[in-house]
Amino acid sequence: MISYITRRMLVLPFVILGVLLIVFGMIQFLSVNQRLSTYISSPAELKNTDLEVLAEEYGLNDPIWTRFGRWISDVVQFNFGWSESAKMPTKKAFTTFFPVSLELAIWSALPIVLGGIWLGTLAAVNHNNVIDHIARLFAIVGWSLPSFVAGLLLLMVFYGGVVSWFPPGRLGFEAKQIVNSAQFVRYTHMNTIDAILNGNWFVFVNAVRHIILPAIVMSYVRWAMLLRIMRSSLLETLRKDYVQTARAKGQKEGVVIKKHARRNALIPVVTVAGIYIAFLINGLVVTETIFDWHGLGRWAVNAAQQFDTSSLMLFVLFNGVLLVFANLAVDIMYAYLDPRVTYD
Amino acid sequence: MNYRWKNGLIFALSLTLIVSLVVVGLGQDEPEIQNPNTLTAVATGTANTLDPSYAYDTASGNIITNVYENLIRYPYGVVDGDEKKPGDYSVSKYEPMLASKVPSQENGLIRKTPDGGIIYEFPIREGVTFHNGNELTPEDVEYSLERTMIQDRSGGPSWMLLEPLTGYGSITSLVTTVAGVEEYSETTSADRTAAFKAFIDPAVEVKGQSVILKLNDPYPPLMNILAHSSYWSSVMDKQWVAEQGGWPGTAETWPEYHNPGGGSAAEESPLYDKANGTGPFKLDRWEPGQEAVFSRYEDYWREPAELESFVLQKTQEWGTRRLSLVNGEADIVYMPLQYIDQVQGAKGVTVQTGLPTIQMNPAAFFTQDVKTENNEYVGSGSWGDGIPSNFFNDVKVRKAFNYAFQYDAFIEQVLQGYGYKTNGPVPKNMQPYYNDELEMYSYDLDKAEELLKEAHDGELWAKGFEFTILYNSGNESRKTAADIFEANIEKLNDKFEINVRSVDWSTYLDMMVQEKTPLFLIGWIADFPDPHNFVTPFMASDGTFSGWQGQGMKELATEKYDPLIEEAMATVDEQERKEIYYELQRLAKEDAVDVWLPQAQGIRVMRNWVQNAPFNPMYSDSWSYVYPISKGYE
Repeated sequence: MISYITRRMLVLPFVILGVLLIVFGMIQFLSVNQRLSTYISSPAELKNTDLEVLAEEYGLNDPIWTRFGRWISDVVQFNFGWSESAKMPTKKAFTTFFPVSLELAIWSALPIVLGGIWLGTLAAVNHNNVIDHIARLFAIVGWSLPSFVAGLLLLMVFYGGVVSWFPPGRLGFEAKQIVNSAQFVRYTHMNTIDAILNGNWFVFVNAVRHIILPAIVMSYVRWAMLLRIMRSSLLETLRKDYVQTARAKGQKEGVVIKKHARRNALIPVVTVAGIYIAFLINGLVVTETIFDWHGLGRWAVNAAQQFDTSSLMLFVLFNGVLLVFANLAVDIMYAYLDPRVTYD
Repeated sequence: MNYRWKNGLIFALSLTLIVSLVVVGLGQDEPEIQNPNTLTAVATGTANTLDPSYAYDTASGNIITNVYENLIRYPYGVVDGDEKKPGDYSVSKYEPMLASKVPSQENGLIRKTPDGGIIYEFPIREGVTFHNGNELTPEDVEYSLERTMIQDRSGGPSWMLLEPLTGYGSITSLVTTVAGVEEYSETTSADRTAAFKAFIDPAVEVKGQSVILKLNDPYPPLMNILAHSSYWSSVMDKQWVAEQGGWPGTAETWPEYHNPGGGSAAEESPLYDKANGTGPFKLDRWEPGQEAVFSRYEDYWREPAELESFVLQKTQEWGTRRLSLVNGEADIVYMPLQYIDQVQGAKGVTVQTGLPTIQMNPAAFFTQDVKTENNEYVGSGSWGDGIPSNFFNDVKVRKAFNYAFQYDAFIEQVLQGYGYKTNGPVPKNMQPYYNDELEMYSYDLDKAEELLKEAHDGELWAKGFEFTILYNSGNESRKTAADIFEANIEKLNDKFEINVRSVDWSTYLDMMVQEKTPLFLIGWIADFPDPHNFVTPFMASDGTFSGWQGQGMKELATEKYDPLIEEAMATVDEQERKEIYYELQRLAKEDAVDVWLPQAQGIRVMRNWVQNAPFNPMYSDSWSYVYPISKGYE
């Protein structure tokens, strides 16, 4: 196992360098003027601008290797340049947006996994009866419902309707004032966690109120997949002999399902859920946009639309590392859950 | 109860709860003023910087306008949330702000010098303090204007002060000319210091409690360029800027503070994320791309603002912005015109329409001598299955396109009825310079047919043509305009074919710059409300847009338009200028250089508890100055 992990780790830098080169190279297929659009994102920015002078100033006319070399040498010095899409230094943009997406991912992970497992169990236990159908219908609606529709519907009900329990954004006005005051230490820049660490329950409740709807949307659109995997896996397990034995022993149905069948049925679910959660950290463009969370997903999309090379490259770098580690984690989890899998 | 049914019940109960909440949620409630002492405005722009000498985008301007002040300001009309009229405003009259008097020839503060120059004297108000407590001095005003001139970042706003005050469009061209070399990099530090002492320093001087601007030649829009809403002329605190690591104000050091970050990395300027002005609001916090929070400045030289604080927030998604408005959490939101039906008649929401705008956004530009090599948008490059390079060089073709546009349909479909027809390039609301004596082109396919039959000696009509109109993806109004051209031109002759295709913005920009788009659509919004700011990009031989309209346009401009554009700037006499601009507009129509598309009215959407919202078309988004606003019901 250790040697497997070591081998995977050794490959990591090459994989990432390859991905970086491909992305960088693709941007360079664009003409100089197209790449200038990074700096001129609207007609207003054309005013009093000499495009040729600008291209020269930003070094866009240099050969690709010069530019890639320049970028790499900057990165080695931990200088990621200026993010034209976020209008701030790229490093700062990343440290600003990452905790936002991470917090949302953390809060969505639990409902995704628990909700998926619960719905799957419910469907399997009530195999082919009304509850099974309703649960599956409920989940499949979520799967088919675009997250911007689900998000806006929830906002209309829980924010724009009679109740305004769950507003968009990350914090209300007063909570923001507290979070930004000198007394409040921002350890992680994740509001819920910082609120706990600061012992400020007003901020905590406020932050949770803001996170509930996006977390629900992110979970609801993913439940269908987990439900199906859980349902089929549990159905299979319930037909196993040892389950029959447990029933024959006179165990209560709840104990049979919860203790004997469900645990064994969990293996495939955990694998899928693990990858889901890794992807959540990437940020989710639509959910972030609807709920006005300024996270990684939105930034990456803006950067891509604007050919904002420095932001894109950092995002690619981050994604490469994240996915390599996520895959590795899943591989390791396989081996842990299923003794038949070995990597040596 | 057995396990199966217990879980089923929980599930059914939660479904019922959700459904009932949905039903309850569709009800209505009584509007009650939320956060009565805070104004929350929600828009979509990301501010680039807080440095007044660097900013050139409206999102930055929205912040700077509330924190910093200028020598003079435009009168604004005040509108209450439940009124519809824009109130009395002007973009050609001024009121004192940090200057205690508005200079004019009558009060002797604008006067000619013996050597033919012009002097503007601004007596500086006493007893004004910056947010850090420092007192405003005339030296601060001198420093601020000079700072904008020496900073002159690439693509920035500094040309607006450099042009009138030094006669040069950029500080680098000034220095290279003074030094007599080709490149700025060839100049020595002695050259640079000398250029500063010869041109920048004498242009703005302090005399007693006054600041004197000295122009060698008249520059009619100077007052516009200095007025509040021109962020580049904001007054900064010299001592404070130097303390932040900014330019100390000396002739020898200025090159170190020139073009910070090469014009693209705004953080290189020390004022990137700090602000200290004399305005009614102090900036408490700025998170780029998220929000800016302001609080009332209690020692303000006028009455302190009614509101205690002001939040300017960015929310990209219209649906979310709309909900914040309906919910009452947002007081003012930015709304794209196409959504107007969603807020018209909403409870507690006021929609003001018909506000005057000063823009030409968009217009349709013809490229004469369009480049045909490697250009898929002109077909084969010859008649029949393409267009020859000189397709639009024939004025008859250009006129025919002007007749083949359904202006009313554009107003209905794109502008939802909230638009007006106009002749360009001087905007309709820029009185007295807009030529309303000209008859506008109107939709007339018979005339278009007649013209196209005669054009290019009949070859066009006999052989037909095909070309592509591009628009940048996502810009639906440009697409609709292109579709209207397509539908009408194709109606005239079976051999005519126009394709409409979307490309991303970067390709669009590239194609325009390379003069490969036979017909392109783009728009201009005023830097300052003077016709010069419009005739230059639209008609000058080196204009931003006219410069992309090909060799044919260049020749027309050099011969006919450039001399008039210059002539209009050589006098400050309103009547004389008016006649020249009238003539330019007549020529624009006669030569049919562009198609002047209908323009959108200004619209603003706010809660009806917003009182005294100022209106002036030069304030971006038409509400961005918050000082007079209060919240409440009358």
